[in-house]
Amino acid sequence: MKRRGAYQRGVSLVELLVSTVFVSILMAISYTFARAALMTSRVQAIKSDAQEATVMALDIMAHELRMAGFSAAGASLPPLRTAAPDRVDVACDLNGDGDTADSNERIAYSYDDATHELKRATGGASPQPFIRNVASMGFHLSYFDAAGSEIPADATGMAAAQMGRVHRIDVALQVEFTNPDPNVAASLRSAVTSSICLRNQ
Amino acid sequence: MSALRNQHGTALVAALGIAMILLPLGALVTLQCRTDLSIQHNLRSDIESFYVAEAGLAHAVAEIPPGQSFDQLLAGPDRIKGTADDGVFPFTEGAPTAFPSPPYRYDVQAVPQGASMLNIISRASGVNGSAKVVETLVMRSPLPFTPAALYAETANTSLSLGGSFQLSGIDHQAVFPPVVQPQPRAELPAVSTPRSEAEPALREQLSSAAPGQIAGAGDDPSVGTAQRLDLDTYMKSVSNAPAAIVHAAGAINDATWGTTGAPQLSIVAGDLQVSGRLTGSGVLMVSGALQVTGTIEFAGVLLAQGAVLLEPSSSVTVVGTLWQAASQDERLELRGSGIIAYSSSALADLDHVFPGLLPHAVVVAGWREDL
Repeated sequence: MKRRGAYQRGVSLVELLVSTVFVSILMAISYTFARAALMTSRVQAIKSDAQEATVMALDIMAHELRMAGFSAAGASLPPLRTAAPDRVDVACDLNGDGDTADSNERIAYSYDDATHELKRATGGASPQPFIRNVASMGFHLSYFDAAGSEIPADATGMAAAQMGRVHRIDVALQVEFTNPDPNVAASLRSAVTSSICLRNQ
Repeated sequence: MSALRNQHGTALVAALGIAMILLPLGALVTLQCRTDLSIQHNLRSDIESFYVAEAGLAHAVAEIPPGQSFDQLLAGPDRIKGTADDGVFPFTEGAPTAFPSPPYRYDVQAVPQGASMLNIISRASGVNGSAKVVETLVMRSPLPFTPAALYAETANTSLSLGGSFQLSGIDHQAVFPPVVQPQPRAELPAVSTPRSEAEPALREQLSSAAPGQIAGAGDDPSVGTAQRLDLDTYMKSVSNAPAAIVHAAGAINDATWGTTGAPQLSIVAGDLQVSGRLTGSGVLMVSGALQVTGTIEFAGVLLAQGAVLLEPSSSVTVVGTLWQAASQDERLELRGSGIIAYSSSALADLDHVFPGLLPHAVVVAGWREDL
C-alpha cells in the first residue's frame, strides 16, 4: 500500500511563475476596471451634487423672483430695484405694512466673478454665498417685456422705466467642478436655465 | 483521480476578488442613481403641484363675476352666510374632485383681506404627498364694468341693424356727438352676449354690416361672448336707490332726465315710447319695451327689460352702454340713425355720483406663493 504522501505532487517553479503572471494579469485587469468604476462613481457623485445644487438654487430663485412686487395691502409696488445681467434686486411687501424693509422683503442675487460665487442678500444685509463653483460668467440674467422682446441690460443696470416693462426674467446658471480623474483635463459642468414670469408686474 | 479534484480554484478566487471590488462600487452607483431619481421625481411632483395650484387660482379668478362686492363669494357654495362651507370658493359647477386627473387636485378658499380685497388661496396636492399653496389678492376695478357697448342677455338674440346705425366698443368721450377718447382706456366688443352659442348667430346676422359699422375689440363685426351680468340685481339696486325717480309708463314727447353734471336714476315702470326729444344722463331703466321714433341723447346706462325698437325715423345716441335684460319680448331693432358708443368716462362719472350701483370687474392686485 502506497503512502498517501506519495500522491502529493509539489508545485514546480514553472507552475508558480506562470500562475504568478496569470494572477498579476488578472489583478491588473481588475484594477483597471475598479479604477474606472471608482472614477465613474466619483464623477457621477459630483455631477449629481452639482445638478442638485443648481436645480435647488434655481428653484428658490424662481420662487423669490416670481413673487417680486407682491404687496399684501394690494398696493402697486415696483418689483425690480436693480436689473443687470449679473445681478437682480427684487422687492415685495409681505406683511402689507407699506414698506419693503422687513424680513425677506428685499432679496438680491449677484454674481461675484472673483470668488466664482452666486451671492444672495436679504433685507439689505451683506451678500452671503448662495452657490459656489459658479463657472466664469456662469450666471446670466436676461429680461423680457410682455410681448417677449428682450430688454437690453448693461452692467450698470436698467433705468427705472425699463424695469417697469420687465415681465419675464430668464436665468442661466452654470457650475463647474474639477474632474476627479487626473487624466481628464475637462472640468465637470452642470447648467440649468429657467424662465420666470413676474406675476405681480 | 477525477478531473474535479485537479481544479486548483484560481479562477474562482480571482472572480470572487474582482466581485468583492466591483460589487460595492456598483452598489454605490446604484444608490446614487436612486437618490438622484428620487430628487428629480420629487422636483417634478413639486412643479406639477405648483401648476395645479395655479390652475385652481386661474379657475377661481375667472369665475368671479363683475359685481359690487365679494360678499356672495364669501358665503360658500351654498350661498348662505354662517354655514360650515363659508370660505370655500363657490365654483359654478362645483369644485373639481381632481385636476387634471387623480391624485392631483386643488382646493380653493376665499378669505376677506381688509375691507375691499379678497385673498384667493389655492392648495394643490399631487403624487408623493407633494403640496403647493399659491394665493392671489383680488379687488374690484376702480372703473365700472360693461361687457360691451351693447350687451344683450336675452335667450334668443335677434338683432336687426339699420344701415345708418353704429355700434362701437371703442372708448369715447361723454359728449354729443361722441368723440373717440384721445387715450382710450380699453377696447370692448361692440356687441356681446353671455351665451357662447349665440355669438355665431349674431355674427351671421351682422355680417352684412358695413366695415367699421360694428367696431371694437376683435374681428369686424366686433361681436363677443361675455361673462353674464346679474342684471336682476342691478335693476333691484336701481329700483331701491333713494335717488331713483320713477316715471310713468307710456309715451313722452320732450324730456330731460339728468345732465352730465347731475346724472339721474330714471325708472320707467313699463313700456316707453319716445316720439320727441329725450336727453339725459345717469341710468335710464325701462321695465318694458323701449320704442323710439324721435331722438334720444343719453350718457350712462340705458337698461331695457324688453324689446328695444329704434324705428327708421329715430335718432338715438347712447354714450356709455346699453343693456337688454332677458324678457318675453326680445326684439332688438336698431334702425334709424345713431350710435351706441362705449364710454368709460360716462360710466365713471355715473359711478362717482352713485357709488356701489354699477358692476366692477375683478382685478388681480397681488400674487404670492407659500413655501
